[in-house]
Amino acid sequence: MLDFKDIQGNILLGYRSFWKARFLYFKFKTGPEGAKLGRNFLTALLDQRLITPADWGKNKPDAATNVAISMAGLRALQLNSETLASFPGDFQEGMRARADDLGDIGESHPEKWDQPWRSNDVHLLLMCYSGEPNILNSRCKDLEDLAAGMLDQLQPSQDAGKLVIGKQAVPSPKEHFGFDDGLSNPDVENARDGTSDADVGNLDSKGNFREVPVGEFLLGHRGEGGEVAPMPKPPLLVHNGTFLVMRKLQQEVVRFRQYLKEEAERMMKVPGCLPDKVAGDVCKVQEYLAAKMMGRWKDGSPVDLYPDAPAGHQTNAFSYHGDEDGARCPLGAHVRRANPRDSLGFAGQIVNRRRMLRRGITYGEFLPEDASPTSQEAQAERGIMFLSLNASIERQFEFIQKQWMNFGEEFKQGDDGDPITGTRFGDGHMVGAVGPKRGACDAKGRMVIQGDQRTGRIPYVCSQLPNFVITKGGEYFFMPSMTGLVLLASGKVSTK
Amino acid sequence: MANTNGDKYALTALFPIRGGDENHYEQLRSYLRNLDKDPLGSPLSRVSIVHMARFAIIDNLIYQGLPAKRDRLKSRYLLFMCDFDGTGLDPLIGAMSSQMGDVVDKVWEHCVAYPGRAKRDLLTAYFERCQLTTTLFFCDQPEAEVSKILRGLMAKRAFAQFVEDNQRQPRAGLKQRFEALWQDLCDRPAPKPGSM
Amino acid sequence: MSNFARNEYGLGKAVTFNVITPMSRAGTRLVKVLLTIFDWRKQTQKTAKELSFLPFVHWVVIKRDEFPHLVPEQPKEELNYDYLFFLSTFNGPWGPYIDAFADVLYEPLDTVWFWSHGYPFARPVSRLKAYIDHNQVESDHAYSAYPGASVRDVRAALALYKQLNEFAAQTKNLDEAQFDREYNRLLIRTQNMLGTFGTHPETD
Repeated sequence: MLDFKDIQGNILLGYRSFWKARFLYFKFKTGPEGAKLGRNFLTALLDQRLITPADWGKNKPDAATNVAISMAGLRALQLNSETLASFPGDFQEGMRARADDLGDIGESHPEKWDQPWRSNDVHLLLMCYSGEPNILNSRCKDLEDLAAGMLDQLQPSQDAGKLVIGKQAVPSPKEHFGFDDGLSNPDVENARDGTSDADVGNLDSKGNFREVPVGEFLLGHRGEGGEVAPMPKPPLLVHNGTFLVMRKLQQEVVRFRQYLKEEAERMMKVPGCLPDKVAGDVCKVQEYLAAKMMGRWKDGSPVDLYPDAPAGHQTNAFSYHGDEDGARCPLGAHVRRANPRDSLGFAGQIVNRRRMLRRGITYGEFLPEDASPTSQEAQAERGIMFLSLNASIERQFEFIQKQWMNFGEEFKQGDDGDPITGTRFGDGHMVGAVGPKRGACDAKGRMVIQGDQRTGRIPYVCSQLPNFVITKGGEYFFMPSMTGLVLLASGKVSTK
Repeated sequence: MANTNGDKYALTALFPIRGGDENHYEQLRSYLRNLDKDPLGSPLSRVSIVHMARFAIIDNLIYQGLPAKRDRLKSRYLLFMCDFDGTGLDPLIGAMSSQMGDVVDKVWEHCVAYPGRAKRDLLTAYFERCQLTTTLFFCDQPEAEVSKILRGLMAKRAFAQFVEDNQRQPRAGLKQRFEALWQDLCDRPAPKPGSM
Repeated sequence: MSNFARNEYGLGKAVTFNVITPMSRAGTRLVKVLLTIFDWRKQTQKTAKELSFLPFVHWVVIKRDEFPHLVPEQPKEELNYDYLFFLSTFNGPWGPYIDAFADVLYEPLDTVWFWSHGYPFARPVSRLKAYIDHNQVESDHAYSAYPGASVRDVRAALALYKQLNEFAAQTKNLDEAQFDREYNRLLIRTQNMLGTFGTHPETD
């Protein structure tokens, strides 16, 4: 059984009711003295029981805090060189160095990132959550006061929280483009929280869902294929820990809505590319187009089950069997790329090792549908703090980002990337393929909404897709277990 | 034999590299590493029957640790692997010799017993002596020759653009436009190897 | 980067991959038979074809006395082992794909490489990766006649060409309205053959 008192919170089980969050960024001071102060800070966090484990005990806390450390942070803590060298290359290099591979070019280039991400200075990340804004404020103030003198805090901190839309009293599950989010996380072996849970795992050879082994998300445990993900040294430091990918992803809501509007009008001029029920109504066409790009309707119902209209059915229990050509859910739709389920054949064996736990949370205010594109609120920054947890950054997050989001090969879409999150390289072509080298991100991509042989609906090519999501910062972090934190705080990490 | 699969020929060959004091090995490696400066990726692009090819210098045989014994090579070898349209070596040797003769000389002059290009039979015999039988030859497209693949790729790129462009145009005249596209695709020569 | 085929616009999709491993005499005999069967019975190659990222692969067994010896001045090799040369081309970096390879093809992989010294079995895959890292030989030059096209791109291109050729012939005598209908059908038949492709510019 898993030791939930040892594993940090928000990894295997998300914080559902804590809908407000703030991310605090710190840099360790330099030299041996800085390392010592850093350890003192970790000791203080532990002594005051400020770090929240997965098992809350009898009483639910009113706020939660979790901690993660970057490679630069581990170096600043002056861990021994053998331990440092034992971390995987992806983590050692950090996100900025891997920008090309991740498609963080053009508008997403690290030179254009927001602070504090313009350097590798984010050593320590504190993630604070609460359901009450006042409690969150006071928790963050306590942490900042505690850190003062021991660490250098980097500004600005990042506020985040579920969106409040219109006059709704309850926070919405939607993200800024208007889709219900966080619907699909892998169902993890031994991590059920007893609530009715819509999450599904990986497919087995008979086409049934089974739980994903916990070793895909926690170090030191059995993963897919009987594999244990490569473990840094020593085991005590890393067992029950994991790697956290944090990305600040700005969502270009005005651009997205504008594109839907214009492309829907263009679509309506192409006879035969829309189902009859949708064809005459511009609002419905926009809704249809957005859903085909996403692979889910805004209400969360999967396009593969409900190809022509939303159904208010937020299920995860579906596969793409019988839709090999994309007549229902386009082969290049976002959710079909992010988790292709059985799309790639081999009874899912090709996708089994590419799952992540996602704990993303939106930032910024929701832009009302009727807002003018030139208004001040339309210009405000908004997006999602993308958080994903995986045992191997390269095998899981980076593979998905590189091969599935920014490339379409495995989905029979050639070089065409994800319509929502993909980075555009060229006007449908990779930049170099059609002419002399150009600036990487000036041009736009495309996506095919496949037609349907049975009804005769013809395919439609969405072209000139701009970037709807722009990377504004991020880093790879190590999220140790409570035991690992104690060891780090003690300064006695040894491989001898 | 496994040297062939459909209409494809798989050449695997090991050429001993000349020893002595003249640094043949260093010169060869440095020459090979610069071959990709060619705008089409390689001088091999001049040989229109070649699908894929590689050079690799085998410096030594890697030791596996105990209980394995240590194997040491007395010569270094140039590995040349080439997949091409054909059923025998001779057409490849002929094409390489005529289309990239300067390169053939500059590569193989560093190898033991290179007979030069003057006599094609000698050159073919030399390649045959250094050839290894490919035990298993896996090939995704055993039938399609290089020019057919290149022509297909050209059509794919052009038709994808056509579909996108014509989606925005009135249907009137579509037939004419398609016929013009197809005629153009048929009239155009196949793209140069390496260009796509 | 000499493992990648390329052209003036950038890096291609085909990366070469060479692994050379030593085998005992007994192993060599068996492996030769196995590979010959796999070669002869194309049905056994079905899974590898379905993976769709292998354009060409050579498996070559070379016995200890078969290293080419051309002139008396060239010293004769005296080796303790025979060698298995695995010369493959992948679309995409091999590292991430080796997981797929191992999961889907571990039985034939194990059967063929079992006879190589130090082979750790295909699963768990991290030891296989270490074994490959240890025994990999980098190419000094790689060429592809179509560097920007993957196996899937090539398949789509050939299939599309055939479709267009037939379509052009069949629609020659149709009027505009009939042509429109047939064109719509063509679109549906070819809709997943239209993806873009090309070599990838290297960032500076």
